Amino acid sequence: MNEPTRIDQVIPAIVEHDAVSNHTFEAQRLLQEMGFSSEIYARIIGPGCDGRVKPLDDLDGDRSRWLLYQSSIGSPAAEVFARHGAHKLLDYHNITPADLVERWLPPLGAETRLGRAQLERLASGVAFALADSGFNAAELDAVGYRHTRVVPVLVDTGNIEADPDDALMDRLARSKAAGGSDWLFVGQIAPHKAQHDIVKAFACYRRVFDGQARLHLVGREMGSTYRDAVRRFIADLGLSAAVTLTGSVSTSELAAYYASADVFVCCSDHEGFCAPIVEAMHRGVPVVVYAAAALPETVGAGGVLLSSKSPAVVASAVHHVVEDQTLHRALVDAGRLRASELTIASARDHFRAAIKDSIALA
Amino acid sequence: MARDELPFAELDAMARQRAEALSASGIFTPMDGADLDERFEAAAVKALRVPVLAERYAGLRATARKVIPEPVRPVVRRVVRVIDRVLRRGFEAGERLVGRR
Repeated sequence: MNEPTRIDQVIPAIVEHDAVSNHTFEAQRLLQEMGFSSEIYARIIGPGCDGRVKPLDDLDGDRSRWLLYQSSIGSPAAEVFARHGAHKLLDYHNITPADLVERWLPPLGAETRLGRAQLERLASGVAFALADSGFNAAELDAVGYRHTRVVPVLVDTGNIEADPDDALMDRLARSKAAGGSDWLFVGQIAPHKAQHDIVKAFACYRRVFDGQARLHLVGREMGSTYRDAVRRFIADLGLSAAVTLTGSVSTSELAAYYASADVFVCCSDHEGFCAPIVEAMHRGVPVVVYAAAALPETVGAGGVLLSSKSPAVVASAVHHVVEDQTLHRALVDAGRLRASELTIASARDHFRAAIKDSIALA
Repeated sequence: MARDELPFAELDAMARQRAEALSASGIFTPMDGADLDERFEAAAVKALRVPVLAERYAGLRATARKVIPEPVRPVVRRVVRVIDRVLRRGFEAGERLVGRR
């Protein structure tokens, strides 16, 4: 087969401030840098992305191009990709298991089920697949993908080199001066990210170790029902003054939250990679993480991995990390080292190598 | 590298031992953990009830628009609001009476 001159991407939806969308834009930049023409075709184009992305309806039947599909949810875009006669590549960011979300968001549950079914159906037509992690690659192998390569998500932790927001830093510093440690989690308020389990551990921690601690849950909501449940739970526990659900924040506000955090706590049941953990390690915040899905791979030797997320176990681990200054320093150093292994420069090298391998195989 | 060979692997064991000690001393027992689970479940049930009701109300509104003539709709709307307020207060009073959180 001739070497392609054009590698276009297909994605179900593209929006701002979204890891898969940012990854797709970065992949486009790299493909163009490698000398390919490259457009992005999306079924849903969010505000701020128009002009940079073409509607999926504009994708013509030219079979000389290659198509790279960004897979993270079920979508009619996968059917368009499947029917197209082009040489096919797929980039897998994992799909949340339906049973973790469908109670809260039935339509999303249906989309994730569809996504997994489509992933399986696409296997026979895809010549080469990329996956964010070994965990994701193993899922691809299990459903019959022939050639898979791990390419870390193209996340620029330099995004949060922005100066922390002054007003927020002042407010957070005033709270800290009054005593108590600051817990942080960054990620969509979503059932599979299990913010309710972080709240349970935090409630235990306040009761047993530090009655003045604060918890900051940073991130926009994925549907209002789960967020409302978490809010009601927080209020019921009498923790409304100690727990903040920030909603979506600016880059400088995010930098302020990282700068003032004593520990980053993650109790997610499912993550395909979890970029905020890398950001936290990069910013020198020790991470305490429940070892589920791809999280052990992302954390590596850079943080604490827990085999249980029972409130007392998580609270006890955080207590060790916050109180033992030697351990705290060791975790900061280990986290920075791990984050340096996951830089965007290294991810870009992996991406370029995978594209070259896919061409060599064709 | 295997998980138990990672540099901070002992922290997991230490945290589990500490949790067991908290339980043995009655400071934070499995019953406390179960209480947190139940309280989150109660919050979840309440949060999930709202969209279900909203969906049912939307269906009722659509039917009402078809069967209630335009001129009498403002009056009907006012009556429904009064009934809604009375029912809501009754429901809240009932919740307080049975001591639900």
